[in-house]
Amino acid sequence: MSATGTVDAPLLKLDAVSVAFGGIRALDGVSLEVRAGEMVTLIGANGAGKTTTLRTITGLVRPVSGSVWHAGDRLDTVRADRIVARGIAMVPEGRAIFGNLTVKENLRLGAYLVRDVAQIRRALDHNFALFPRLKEREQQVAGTLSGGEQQMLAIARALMSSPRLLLLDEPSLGIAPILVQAIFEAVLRIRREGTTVLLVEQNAHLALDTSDRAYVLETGRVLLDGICSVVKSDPRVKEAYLGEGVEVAGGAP
Amino acid sequence: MSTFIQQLANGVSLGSIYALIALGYTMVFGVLKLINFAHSDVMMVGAYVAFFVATGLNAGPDPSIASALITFLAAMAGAAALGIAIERLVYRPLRSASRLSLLIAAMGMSLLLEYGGQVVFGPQHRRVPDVITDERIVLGDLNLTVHKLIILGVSVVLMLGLHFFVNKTRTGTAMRAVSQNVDAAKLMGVNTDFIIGLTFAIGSALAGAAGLLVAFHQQGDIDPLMGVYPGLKAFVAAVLGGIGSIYGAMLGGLLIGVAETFVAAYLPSSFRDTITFSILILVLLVRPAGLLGKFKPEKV
Ligand SMILES: Nc1ncnc2c1ncn2[C@@H]1O[C@H](COP(=O)(O)OP(=O)(O)OP(=O)(O)O)[C@@H](O)[C@H]1O
Ligand SMILES: [Mg+2]
Repeated sequence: MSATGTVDAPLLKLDAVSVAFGGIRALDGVSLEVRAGEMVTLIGANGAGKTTTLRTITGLVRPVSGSVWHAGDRLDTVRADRIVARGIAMVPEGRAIFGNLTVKENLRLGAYLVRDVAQIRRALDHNFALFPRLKEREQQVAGTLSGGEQQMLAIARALMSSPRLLLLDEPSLGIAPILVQAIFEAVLRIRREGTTVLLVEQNAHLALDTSDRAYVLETGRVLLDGICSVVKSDPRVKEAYLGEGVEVAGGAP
Repeated sequence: MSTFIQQLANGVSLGSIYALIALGYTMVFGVLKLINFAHSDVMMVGAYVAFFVATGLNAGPDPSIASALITFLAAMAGAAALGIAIERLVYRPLRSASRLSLLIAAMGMSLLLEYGGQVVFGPQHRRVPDVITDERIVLGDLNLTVHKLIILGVSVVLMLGLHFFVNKTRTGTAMRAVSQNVDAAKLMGVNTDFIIGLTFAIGSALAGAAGLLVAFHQQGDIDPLMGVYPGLKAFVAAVLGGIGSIYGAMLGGLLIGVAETFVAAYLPSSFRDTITFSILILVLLVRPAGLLGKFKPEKV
């Protein structure tokens, strides 16, 4: 491994993590690292194990072997409801907002463990600056928001705890292109402001164009990893994920 | 007309008891998606706690506000403790098992309490001493009793308290979050085991209060199987209102109580229990999710 000018432990590290559901292996010895300040993407086909990877990090799923580390501390023995206190927040697949609660109540739950009222206020203001649509809909029942707005709410809710590491599971799934753009602009801004991002994305173009490094997952194993420009030119990735030979308008150089 | 208002008052009084019990069914269903069949028997145990405490306080010959208050709180605390114990010892270990196992465990728990109750308390009927003197109150044409007003007053206070807790407190909001998405609630930092235990505690405490109110309603008469019928009615009330919905349980309880009282007043008494289920079937045909229910068929 190359030393990137620091001896500090990576912010997140998975060491040979395997996960099984019944007899089926969803993850088979997955190792990956995310360093502070990075934006890393995890791409792969349906069922490759991307969501399982994120759920393992947040303690919703337990590995059968291997370990998860956060800034040098063991994470895979920590209860799921203690993860957010470590500065890790997740935007779940399919958004998982609380549909019967108002936008405001959803956001307050994002700061469930935050006791400092001023800090909650700051996080709210920051979110409303990021997603002005949410401010307009503060009192609205979240289930009545459009899909794109629900995704914004899911991201805003995760940001309420002021996490150091943000895990995003397919934020573009089933959302109108114009809102996808708004959401990705917000993610890039969050990242510029200093939050480390691990992004799972089905839209490989989008993911590889916005992230620093990428891991490609195939049936529970890491097929390859590297900086995005290199991963993008890998023939296997081109063929399987980028649509080989098809020139996409506005694609990367 | 006067009998109409009289019957309405009687119905609301009975219905508010059903509503209190129905709340426990609906809240537990909210967080665990489980029909807690033992709930009505927790109510029965609450009534027995009231019986022992009121007897111990010698409340019969010497009723007072203080003894009434102590008896109510004891019934609620006893039922809450039992509810917490059942969740911890029976349902929690089974949470990762199949839904069916959980349901069967709930039925088993119900039978255990009903027949265990006969062993521990004796199968005979008992009489809870009056913790407050029952007197007739005549308001124009309306014939009420102190006990009926207490039934109504206690129910209203408890339901308002629940409404406040669920909507205005941080823990209450977390409870609503858990009933919608357990994993997402965990990601927010909500200790979902604690919330589920608390839900059982609150639902059971309401049932404990209802136990004493049922005793009020039937002149103090209690027995180990006293939970069966009110429990069934309250369960129907919860489904009628929309299981999982707190306001649905309140509304369903009142509707069933009122309907039952009217049918008993104007029709042959054998219709009384039929009406409950007829209403249920009719409403579910038109609104499968119940009157205020939000549960939609699961999307895959
Ligand atoms: N709770 C579960 N029980 C059983 N099998 C599961 C469970 N969760 C995931 N799996 C299986 O594990 C494998 C990986 O699933 P996962 O959801 O992680 O894939 P994914 O990469 O996120 O896919 P997608 O792009 O469709 O979201 C799949 O084969 C899936 O069927
Ligand atoms: Mg997935």
